[in-house]
Amino acid sequence: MSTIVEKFTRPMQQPTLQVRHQQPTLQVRHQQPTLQARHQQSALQARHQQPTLQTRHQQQSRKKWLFVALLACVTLFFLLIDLITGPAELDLATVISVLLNREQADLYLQVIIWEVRLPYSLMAIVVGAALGLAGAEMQTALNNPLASPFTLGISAAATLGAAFVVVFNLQIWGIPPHYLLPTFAFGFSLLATAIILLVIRFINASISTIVLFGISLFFALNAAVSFLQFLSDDNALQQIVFWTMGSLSRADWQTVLVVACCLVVCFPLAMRNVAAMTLLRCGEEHAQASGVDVAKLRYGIMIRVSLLTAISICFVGEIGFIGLIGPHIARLLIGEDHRFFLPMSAISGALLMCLASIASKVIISGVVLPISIVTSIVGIPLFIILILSRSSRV
Amino acid sequence: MSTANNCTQNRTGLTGKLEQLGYKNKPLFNQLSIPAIQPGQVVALIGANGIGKSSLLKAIAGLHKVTGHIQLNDNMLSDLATKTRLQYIGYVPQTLPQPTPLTPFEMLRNTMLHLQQVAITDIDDVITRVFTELEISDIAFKPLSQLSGGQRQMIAIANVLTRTPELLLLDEPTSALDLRWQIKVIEALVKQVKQTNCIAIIALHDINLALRTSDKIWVLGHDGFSQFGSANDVITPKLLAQVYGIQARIEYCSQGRPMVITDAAI
Repeated sequence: MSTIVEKFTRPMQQPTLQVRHQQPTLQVRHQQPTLQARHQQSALQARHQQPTLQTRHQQQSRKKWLFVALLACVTLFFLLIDLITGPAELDLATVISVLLNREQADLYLQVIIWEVRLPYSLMAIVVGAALGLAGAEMQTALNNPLASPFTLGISAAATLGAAFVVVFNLQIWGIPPHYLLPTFAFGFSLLATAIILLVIRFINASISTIVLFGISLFFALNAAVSFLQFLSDDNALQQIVFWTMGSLSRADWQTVLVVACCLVVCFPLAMRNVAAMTLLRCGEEHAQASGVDVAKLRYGIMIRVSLLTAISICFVGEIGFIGLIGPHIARLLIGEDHRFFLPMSAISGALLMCLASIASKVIISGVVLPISIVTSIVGIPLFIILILSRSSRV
Repeated sequence: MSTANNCTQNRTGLTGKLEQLGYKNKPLFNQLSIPAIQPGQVVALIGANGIGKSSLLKAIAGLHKVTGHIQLNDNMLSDLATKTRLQYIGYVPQTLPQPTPLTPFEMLRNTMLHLQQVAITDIDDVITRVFTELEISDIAFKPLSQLSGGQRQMIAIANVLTRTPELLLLDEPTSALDLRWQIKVIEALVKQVKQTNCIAIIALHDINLALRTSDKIWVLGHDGFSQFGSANDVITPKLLAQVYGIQARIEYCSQGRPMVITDAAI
């Protein structure tokens, strides 16, 4: 009985013994993988704890908004610098005290700060913002990094309008003389835009056709301006040339307000289309496949751009470069999601103009240079630094 | 979730009839009926250059003017406004997304913001799901300008998958890609179709790729020729001669798959 039991139990026990014997090694073996697995698991967890796409996106968005705010602060800072530069050599404390308590300041300080410098500096800001925004929209609409608000001949049209008034010494009843020139400049640029828009609508033009048409219009208008210059006397010629150099000195509170109002209307309208505009950057066909009515979008952009540009340059004359470089600086800083790109372009434009405004007063002390002469002097070094820092980073 | 399943099960597929497809100076098809395509099917659309494959896909998507009617499951597509229509259709054009500083995440996000199909709070989740499914999460924040052609094609496909389309239309999605990416892209598409029970019509130039990956073949030819069916029935030397103008054989490889071997142009 016992042998049977032994027979039966031995084989039963032996494995258990073996198992017992093996158990430690098994455990060790088993533990090693678990250790590995644990390690893998923790690595996985770490990878999982590495920000998810959503949080990464949120972080990036926050960073970009911070960038926008930062550049806005820098612009405000330079606005202050702009206010304290000038032939009167006022210091920061005086300027701030006059800004805060207008009534208590001396009369001449009031005039210098509130009637001369503030309109001048604020005009730089609003025009820069308007041109920066217009340039960004134009580059997107035409899908061309070389596009600017002036690509379709708006500036040439404005110059023609101004030249008309100067050369023929026009006077129209009902419009005060110093508003006649801006009115004509504005009217002519809208006319040029209307022609382009009609072309787009009727022949359903592709972008390259639009650009070609705009460039030919530009040359035609330039020829017309040259013709007028040829006809004009020395005085008129000088006036026309000065107009094309641009000047902030013509700014007063009313004109600043007009440009600012245009900006206040156009900016939110642009921001309503940011998703569609961003998609347009992926290519026209992809935008269409995502439900964007590209023709309609482009039409809206053209109208906004021409309004912004025409209103800006009719008061201050031709100001090149800002509308081209402002958007590029914004692009280099925060990319092309138009939610950030549009405000950033406006701010970059404003900052560039602000710096140009400072430079226009500082380069030759006592002389205020025409603004168009300095915009590129200020803008190009900044732009080159950005490109270089970018290429060294990537 | 259960309602979603019901929806995908009760689908009736795609059918319709198009008239006057083409351009003013270049009419392509006077009449073209869209064969009844069942949900869950991958259809390869083949035909010679310029025969109208792209125009047909655009017309179905609503981006090319055409008369006639198209029915997709419960919806009469031809009655819908383009933007609404594109909520059901994922159309991927032939060109790749431009190499811009935009990131794929931004691209997908803006598409969803524009289509307004999904609540803003859910957008990021949907994008994350699509990127994970296609296994391209690692390039979600790389600028499009730094991505390869294949990666950009995947992004373009991801971009239409966020709307969970009932119909996928792809215009030569593999034309710019090397062999590995061709397979990856097609595999991702087929997986999507089977998972979501949608329909995919893929315009392809590579007949062997078409034979290998599709459930049905749709051939377009000159003079309004259109034939639809399973690969074995449709792809014959005679048809290849007629449609492509080539002299070709169909042979079976060591794994038993039919392969088209081209001998000469006729």
